[in-house]
Amino acid sequence: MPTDISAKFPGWRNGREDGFDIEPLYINMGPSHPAMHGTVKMVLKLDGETVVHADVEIGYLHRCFEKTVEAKTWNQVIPYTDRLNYVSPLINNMGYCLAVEKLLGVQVPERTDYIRTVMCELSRIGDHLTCIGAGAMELGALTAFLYFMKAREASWQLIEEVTGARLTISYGRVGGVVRDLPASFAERWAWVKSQVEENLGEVATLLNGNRIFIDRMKGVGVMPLDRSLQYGMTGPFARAAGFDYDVRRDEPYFAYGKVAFDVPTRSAGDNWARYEVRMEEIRQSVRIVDQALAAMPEGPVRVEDPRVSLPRKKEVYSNIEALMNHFKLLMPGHGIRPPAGEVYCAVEGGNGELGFWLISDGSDRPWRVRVRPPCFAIMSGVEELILGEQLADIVPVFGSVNMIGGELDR
Amino acid sequence: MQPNSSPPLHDELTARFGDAVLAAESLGGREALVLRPSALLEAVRHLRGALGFDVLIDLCGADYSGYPGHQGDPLCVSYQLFSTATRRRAWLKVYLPLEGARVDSLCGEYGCANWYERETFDMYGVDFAGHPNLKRLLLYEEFKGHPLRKDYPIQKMQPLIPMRNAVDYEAVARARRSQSPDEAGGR
Amino acid sequence: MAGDPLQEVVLTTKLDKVLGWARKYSLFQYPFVTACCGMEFMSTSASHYDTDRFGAAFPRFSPRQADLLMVVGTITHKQAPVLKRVYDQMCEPKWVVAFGVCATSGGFYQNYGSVPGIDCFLPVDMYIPGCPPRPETVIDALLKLQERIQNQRHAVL
Repeated sequence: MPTDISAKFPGWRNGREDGFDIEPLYINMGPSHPAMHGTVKMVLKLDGETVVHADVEIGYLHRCFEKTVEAKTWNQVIPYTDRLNYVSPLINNMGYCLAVEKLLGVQVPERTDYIRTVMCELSRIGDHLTCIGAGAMELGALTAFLYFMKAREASWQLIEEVTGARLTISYGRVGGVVRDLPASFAERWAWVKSQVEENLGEVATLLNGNRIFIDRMKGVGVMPLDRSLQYGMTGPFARAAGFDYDVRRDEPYFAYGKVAFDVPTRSAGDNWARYEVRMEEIRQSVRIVDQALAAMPEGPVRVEDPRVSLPRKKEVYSNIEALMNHFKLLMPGHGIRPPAGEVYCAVEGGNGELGFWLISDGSDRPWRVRVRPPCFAIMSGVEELILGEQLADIVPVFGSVNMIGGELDR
Repeated sequence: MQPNSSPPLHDELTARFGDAVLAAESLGGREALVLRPSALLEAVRHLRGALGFDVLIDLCGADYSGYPGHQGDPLCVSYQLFSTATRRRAWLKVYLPLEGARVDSLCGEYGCANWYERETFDMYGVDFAGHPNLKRLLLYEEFKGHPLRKDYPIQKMQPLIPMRNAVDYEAVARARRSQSPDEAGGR
Repeated sequence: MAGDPLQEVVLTTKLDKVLGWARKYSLFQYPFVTACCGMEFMSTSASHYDTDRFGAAFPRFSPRQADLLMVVGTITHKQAPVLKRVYDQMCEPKWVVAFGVCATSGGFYQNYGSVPGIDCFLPVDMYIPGCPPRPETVIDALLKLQERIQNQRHAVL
């Protein structure tokens, strides 16, 4: 695949000009760099300000997720999944739980599906707010970042009321979620929604007509559709290039099949298109949460299956069968034991298709948990993406890639 | 996720490539086709060209050493393909031996295969013939061994700069394991 | 003496105390952000929790211009030489804060990739536990660090 600038710009001159000896400049960007989100190193070969060749090196946050979870029980994996895409941890949790439930062959109650939908969309809102906010900050628009942090704080406070933590929430369990939504959720959501929409409107006013922002984003970092597909890109990045695919709509899971939402696409494939797609997706997520809350049925939040869910504490303390069930689910060697088999299950993460390939050998620990990280595919195309761009353009381009180190390096 | 209509895919590949398809595993509602490693590149070219599977969603490895009921070569490389035209998915697997695991690279077909294969090489030690730049991706070059293989102890660190006062977790785990044989210490 | 005009314009103290006061209220952080703690770091620096009111707002992404190295997030063996180099490039006086349990002790990552705490190769002044720590914890740590800087000996020559 082209990593050579002359393939992208056929008329590129190379080397000597007017008798002067021209040498390229090698610059190392990262891994500790504000715009590299801390964990990516790029060795750039520059001709003046233009990138002629880029060598992207990742792995600075390789925390051995896939090896670690082979020694944990199926439920103990969940805190590790929080730290994959740490700006939208709920999506990772729920995606993993969905995959294990497919292995087990259990169907969660309907209320759980709706709760999972609501929480995933809340997380996605946080993800997009962070991405656009950080991207704008790196271009100098600090106000946009602070406004979006205000909105993100509101959503995190709501998440804290539901799950108990702001970021690493471990809210999902195999067979359901930990606890039900609090009674005040609907009115708190109304407040969060007002914060999100107000800040979205303000930032749109600040950025959408801003000459500098437009000049730095439009036409910069163009990745046409065919190249996006070559690199296996999914999610907002590919939708901005025209790839109309969203796992929520096309292979529905949870309650996505029962709510109405649009999947925004653009065709330009540049930074501006990605910015617009993400802003629109926030609005659509708000829409999904509204519908899901309105349609949420009553019921239990964990499947009433003794192989999977812990029995209620009241039962455990009063009758022996529940106590034995409790023991069997917690003692090492016992616990949740999906039958031997494999499953590949995909959900729509903040960056695209988040896939889980689980292999079970019938015991209480997974044999293999493979995470298909959405931003890995996008990052594999970054070398081509920044070819021909100027050094300063790498910053907004990389910001719109939304690389999350925990997911990329696992 | 809806299971893809795989029986036609299996038949299609068997009809065209004959003995390339060694088996079809039914996994979680979908069908994974096990191919002969030497036939992989041809099959993928056909899938990509004629059948329109133009997106490589995932390429990764798995180590089945010690998996109950597994016969044959333990190292597996798994490919997930997707077709934008028909919205179908395909799942291919090849099984390779631990020593001399080698399969053709898909770098000429898909751009992202470059990094996926580097990661699989890094973690499992699979050699991809024809890869332009097969070096480690997630770990550093001084690292010896392939960690996701079942025989690599998880806590065996290989620090680049000297660590002082670092707890040798591997020694602790070994000591604990020798005291109580049923202590869960991973495999 | 009452009414002495000099008393109203002159403040007598020790050099250590003055330098400590100046340094503690003008901390320039080098946020060495790697992982999830970075999200809480962003929250702490943003308007809701705000480290600016403690004088520690401005990050300086150059080790030559910073005096507080905040190691935010997990450090892996691949990243460790980079961190050591950044630390070595900073000028005295400098302080190191281990933000989050991964930087403090490795967190729940005990594997071939993660360093079990940055104090394996760096001297640390403040450990902030939490996974990730709440912004209030971070501010508490910042205040404790400021107190420490105030009371520390500041060598001039």
